[in-house]
Amino acid sequence: MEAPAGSVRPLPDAEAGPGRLSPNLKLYAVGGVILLSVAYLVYINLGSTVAYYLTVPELLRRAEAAGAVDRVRVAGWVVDGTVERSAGGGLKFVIEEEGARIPVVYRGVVPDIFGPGIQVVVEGDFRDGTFQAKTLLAKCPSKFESQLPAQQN
Amino acid sequence: MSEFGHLALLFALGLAIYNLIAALGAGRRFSAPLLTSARNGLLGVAVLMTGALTTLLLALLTHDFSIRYVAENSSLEMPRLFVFTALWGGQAGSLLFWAWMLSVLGALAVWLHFYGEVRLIPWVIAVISGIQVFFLLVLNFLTNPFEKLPVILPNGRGLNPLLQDPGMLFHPPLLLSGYVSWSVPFAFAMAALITGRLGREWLPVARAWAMLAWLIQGAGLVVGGWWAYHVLGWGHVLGWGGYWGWDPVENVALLPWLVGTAFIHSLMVQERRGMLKLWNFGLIIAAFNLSIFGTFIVRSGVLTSVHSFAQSSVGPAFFTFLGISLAASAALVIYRLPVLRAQGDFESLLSREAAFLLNNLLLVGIAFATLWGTVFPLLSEAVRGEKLTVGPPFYNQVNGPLLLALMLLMGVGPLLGWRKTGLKVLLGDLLGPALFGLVVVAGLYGAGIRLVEALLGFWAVAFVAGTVFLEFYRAVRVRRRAMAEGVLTALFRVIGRNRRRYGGYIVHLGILIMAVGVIGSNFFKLEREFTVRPGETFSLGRYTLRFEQVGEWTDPGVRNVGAAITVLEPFERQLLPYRKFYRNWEQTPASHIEIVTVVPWLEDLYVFLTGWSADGSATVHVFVNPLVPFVWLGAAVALFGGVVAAWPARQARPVPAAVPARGGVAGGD
Repeated sequence: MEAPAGSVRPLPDAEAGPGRLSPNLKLYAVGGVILLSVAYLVYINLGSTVAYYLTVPELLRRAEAAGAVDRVRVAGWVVDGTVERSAGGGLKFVIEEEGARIPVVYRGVVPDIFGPGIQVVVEGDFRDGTFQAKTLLAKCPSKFESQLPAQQN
Repeated sequence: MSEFGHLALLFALGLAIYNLIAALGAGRRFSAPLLTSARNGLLGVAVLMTGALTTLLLALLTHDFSIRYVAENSSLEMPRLFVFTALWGGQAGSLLFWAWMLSVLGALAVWLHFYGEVRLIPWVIAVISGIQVFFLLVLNFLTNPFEKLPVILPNGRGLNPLLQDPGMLFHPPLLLSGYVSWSVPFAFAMAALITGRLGREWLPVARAWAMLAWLIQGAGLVVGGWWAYHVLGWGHVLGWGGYWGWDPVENVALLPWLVGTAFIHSLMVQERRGMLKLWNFGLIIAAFNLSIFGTFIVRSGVLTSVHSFAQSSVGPAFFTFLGISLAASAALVIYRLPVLRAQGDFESLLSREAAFLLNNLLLVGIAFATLWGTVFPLLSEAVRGEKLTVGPPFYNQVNGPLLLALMLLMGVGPLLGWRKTGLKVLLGDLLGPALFGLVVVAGLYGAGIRLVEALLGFWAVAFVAGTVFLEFYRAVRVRRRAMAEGVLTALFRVIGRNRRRYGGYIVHLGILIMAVGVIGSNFFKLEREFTVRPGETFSLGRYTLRFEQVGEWTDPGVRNVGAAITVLEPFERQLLPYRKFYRNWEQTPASHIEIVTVVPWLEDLYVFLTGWSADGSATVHVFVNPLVPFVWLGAAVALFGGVVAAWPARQARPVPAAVPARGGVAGGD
């Protein structure tokens, strides 16, 4: 790493003699390691956390072909009159998009603004015609504007 | 009234086009009258835009429901304060605010640097005017805030209740201003590229404005987190009890800030060593384009629903502008590439410039990973025809290790000298802080903490805090010896003498304090949902609570439903979390969350009401969020440090002969 004690250091480039990496090269090597680590972290975590994002009709089509669809995310509007809360904190409701509907069961943190007519995104597994949601998200207010006309329909 | 707004926007567009042409003319063949005319035109745009903004504000305050924007975003019952915030509550208003801010900052920058940077100024005006032309086209023809309704409505719909909060007063304008501010250093960088004056000339101006943008955007991000945590109770997941949720809208606001942070660090390398020119141009170009990208993402709704690209009126326009801007910047950089190539080599891996470069790679790496995750649904749809998405675990698992590495570098970097540092000296410096970190970790282990990630994180925090302390300690000691001053006096003078350096360390200190909060709340959060009957007790962690009853009361325009809860252990306290149902917005109640910061353990007891039923039972969600107060404290310290570092240097003044000129403080920035 260091120039030997007492040696006179001429121009930086001259240090890059045979058998000795130039500081530039060392730096690029370290930088390369950082960039590769970033790429590696992105790659492995993408594989383990990725979920399909489908519309309700797409999900139904896929489920018809493959039976169950695991690790999938679906958006839809909560249908009026379908929300049931069980005593244990469980939640059942139906979401709709483009005329297609699926029932959802969920247990966990319920978004503040959850209710009939709200657009939600659920993530989980679709099995035997029921969506078992692990997370339930609602849209953020910064996006509410585009959502309102649909709500009024 | 709307006619005046219409006219102001049209005239502003005409004037911005004139300024663009005049500035281009003045730049091609230097002409003082043409340049002065373009400058005055820029001031004129600022005046017109201020007129337009004031008009919209007046229309809101006087409830002029003939204007669509006013009718859609405000109502008669809304408190004045929120009628005011409706100014940026909707799409057209927020874009008007963006354009107004750009016109003011642009005019201010040109005014301040007109004589100092006269060679660059024509092109600065041209770039700023170019951006203005785009925004004014959008405002005039795509989403006009002064659009009339066919009929005058008796009352407006009102602002979404979730937005009716004092947080709305600061968060959106700060974030929007943060986005806008990157335009100024970008304009100077473009001017430097066009004129070929690629030396240090543009750097002081770019640094000053980049610091301003960094501060504003940082403040906007912090206020957003505070708001989400204290009022909304949600981030990505509504009802999530956190301050950051890796939501696309949050991510895109973080991106220019991250890249800007890299820029603020790496421009020091160019100042000191004349290196990394190309890299610096790349960073500021990226920061600006990410700002436009952020505005585009927030406003287009591309990422929010499954297939909604065509939904928004402004999406395609923004996308086109982004493409033009990227292509133009890239073309200029390529044009200047022969000159931009690095001058000077790194002499050692153990040098401050090398540390800065690695810090930059990490920051850009974090930004890249965040961007990749954010746009992954779009990319996968384009490539595979399937929309794939990633959630918070992706960002935590990727960015966690990178942030840890960045933090370690934050400890090592400042101890390195420019050009070259001896390994032995460095290791000697690092030994004390490293041991201090081990002592802290041993203490935490003794206290029962076994989670390796958390211990590693806390070690890093203690280690870096040790190095920062060392830097201050040494400088103060030297100064005390030389000047025979008290500790505090010496400390203030040390900071005052080199505000860039020590302001930077204060920022680092703030980041460390924030890291304590982030590590604590990430790894040791407790959360549970309880459905309870009146009189029933429930516990989480060290807390025992009793649910008393559900009650209902009304305020003007609002119906409230609350759950009376008593904290029984470890102290007694009445809590009343409740939900607010606003007229016209019954579907989207707002929450009042009860947050008790418990001092001895430095954690938040966080309770909110999620539901209730006819039989009198209620569902409440309880979190215990350890160390979260550190997040806010650290953010305040970091922003304060940023102000210290960014405050403009005093004009050179004659030094009285009696005061020794040298303070004996080691090192430069």
